Amino acid sequence: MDCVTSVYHQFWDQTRNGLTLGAIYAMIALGYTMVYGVLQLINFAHSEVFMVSTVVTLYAFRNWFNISEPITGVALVLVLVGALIPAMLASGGTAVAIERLAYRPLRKRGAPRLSFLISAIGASLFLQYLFVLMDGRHYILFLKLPPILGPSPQSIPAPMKTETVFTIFGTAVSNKRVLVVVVAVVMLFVLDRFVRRTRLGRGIRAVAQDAETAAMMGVNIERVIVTTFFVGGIMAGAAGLLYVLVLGIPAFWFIGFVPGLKAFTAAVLGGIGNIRGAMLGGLLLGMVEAYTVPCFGAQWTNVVAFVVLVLVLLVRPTGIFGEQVGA
Amino acid sequence: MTKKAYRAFAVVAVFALVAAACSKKTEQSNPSGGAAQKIDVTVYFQGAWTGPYNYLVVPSIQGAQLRAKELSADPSFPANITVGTADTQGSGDNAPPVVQQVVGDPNTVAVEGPAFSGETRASGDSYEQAQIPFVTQSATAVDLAQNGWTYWYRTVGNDDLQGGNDGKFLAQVVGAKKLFITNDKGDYGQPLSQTVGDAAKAEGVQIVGEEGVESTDDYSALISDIKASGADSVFYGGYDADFAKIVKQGVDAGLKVNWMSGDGSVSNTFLSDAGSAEEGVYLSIPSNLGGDFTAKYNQEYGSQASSVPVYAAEGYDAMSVIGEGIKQAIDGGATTPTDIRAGIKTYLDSLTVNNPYPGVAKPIAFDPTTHELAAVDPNSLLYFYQVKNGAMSPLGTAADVLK
Repeated sequence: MDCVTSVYHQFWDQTRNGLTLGAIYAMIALGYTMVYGVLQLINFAHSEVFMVSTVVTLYAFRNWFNISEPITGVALVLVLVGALIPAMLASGGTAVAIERLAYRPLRKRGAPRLSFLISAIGASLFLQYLFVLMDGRHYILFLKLPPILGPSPQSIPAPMKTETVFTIFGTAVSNKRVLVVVVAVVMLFVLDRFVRRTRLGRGIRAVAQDAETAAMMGVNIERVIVTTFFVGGIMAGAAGLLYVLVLGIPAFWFIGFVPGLKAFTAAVLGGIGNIRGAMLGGLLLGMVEAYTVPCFGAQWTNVVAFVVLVLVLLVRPTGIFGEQVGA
Repeated sequence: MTKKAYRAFAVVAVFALVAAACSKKTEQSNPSGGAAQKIDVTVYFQGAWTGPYNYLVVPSIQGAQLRAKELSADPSFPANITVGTADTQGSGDNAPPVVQQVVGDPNTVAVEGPAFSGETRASGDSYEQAQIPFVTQSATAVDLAQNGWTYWYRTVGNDDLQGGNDGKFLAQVVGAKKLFITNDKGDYGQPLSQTVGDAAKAEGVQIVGEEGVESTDDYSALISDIKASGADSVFYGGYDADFAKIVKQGVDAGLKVNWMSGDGSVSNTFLSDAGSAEEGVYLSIPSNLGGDFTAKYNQEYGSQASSVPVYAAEGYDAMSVIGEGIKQAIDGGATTPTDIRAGIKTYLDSLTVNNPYPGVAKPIAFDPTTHELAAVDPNSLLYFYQVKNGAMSPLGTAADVLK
């Protein structure tokens, strides 16, 4: 009973929190689900694709735009776009590089499934520890690693001041949260259209349904795979910028782990391989986590989230929307 | 690239990594000079020399190195102290091989550290068995004293001292009426926040919420819950980076409360991460950040000095008592590391409340049975700070400000 009244009192607050977090989970989840759709492979290095974007975002704010205090108007839009594009490209590029170096050589040799998993974990650890060393003090032989993370501690540039845009039933919704949801919805919509309407998108769906037949029909499989990784990467890239912007946190080497794990969970929840499933799975997971706090307390967040996952999988083993590969 | 080129590249890369790893290994301070008859001894410093938490430990490493350098340069001091690197990156998982290296080094006479409580639990038995004195300057978990380690000593106050006084501080100084207790569910943060809650309750403060949240990035759900609880004050047991996120996101969400945390949050990372949200935040730490030693430290390390030198003075003092032990052992006729180890222990055991070593942070004496830091008034060992204008501003010790 206490649980219900608490949720009732905090309903709008927690809905706002859950929607913001869920939108970010959804954007990351797409990378997992698209790669799975095409290759039946879980890209466990995807959390580091996300991490790269958070690092590039803060580096851009700090070192390119010299942000020391919040700015407004056109300048703010230019700074955000000026950081968003490189962050998305860096994440997309990282995803493509992972595919090229960690997966393609295995695919060419027809390696067993397990090898891909190990390779994924290896790529993930490699990227994490590479960024640990990027504080401007470490060398590989005579080559100094770039000081992208910089020596800690550094101030966290915050280009955007938090302001309340509107209030709904006593819950203030800030401009940053509105931005997260708007950007997420636009990007998810564009992606959905891309996969459903364009030639390349059709290629992705064709390869997901039957790679061999798709190849015989003239689909360039390698190109489809690279596109899939790149598109998943740029979605994670946009998520990375929004994540550090709304939470005001520093980028660091391990930042991708928890969001990556949650996004993977969201993808499974929605039905792995299913793009719309990943979107809704992300939102659902974000909401469940948010409502758990008033109901059971913050320490139960992960327990409840994963109990929900298990229950859903017991009833629908392929996720809420089914493992509809290539939909 | 051809297959051959790939292979050549791989070989070069492996060599590069090995070379890089080897070149780091010999990072020791070995001051030159000194009389020829001086005995060479090694005191290992165990803690996070590198890794994501090293900024919490580097100031005490610097303090220890400074003291070792001074002692070795002193003509009347009978030994040359090399500060050995025992780098665990602060993790208990990494400790066993590092401890093995320390125990296996025939020149080891003592260990300063381990810096964190978790790694201490993973290391203590080995040092005890090898009969190597180990003196920590910053591991504050209460249970460390309950292992029956006779070679272990602690030169700071423990978390019970801190938690109990923090609870009183919230009631008496901050004026908390409704307190929300939260922590990172860790070995350090959870017991600390519980002690604070109990102490505050005993002072008549109402506890309106108690929640643990593992380190995460988005604390909005917790903040909404704090807001709904009607708390006027929040205590967080945990580390700086997380506390900074909570304060920042809380202030951002319009939460108006008094914030407080313990020594895990006292760092320049907290100051830089929390930004303008940190103004007015209360902190406690059993380390004197503003004593005379700080000026000396800043002069020695210049731009390398930390702006919040946590446990730097304690690191210096721990090396001082180890050094004094070495001196008395050698003056008493010890020549082998084994004899010097025994001599250091004899000296440390002789430090009592009535006969302390005059450290730069405080007089150093140990409880004869637990080897906890002892003082005439233990409350003089805990310091309170408040963030003012982006810096840690001292409020005094628990003995000064509490009833």
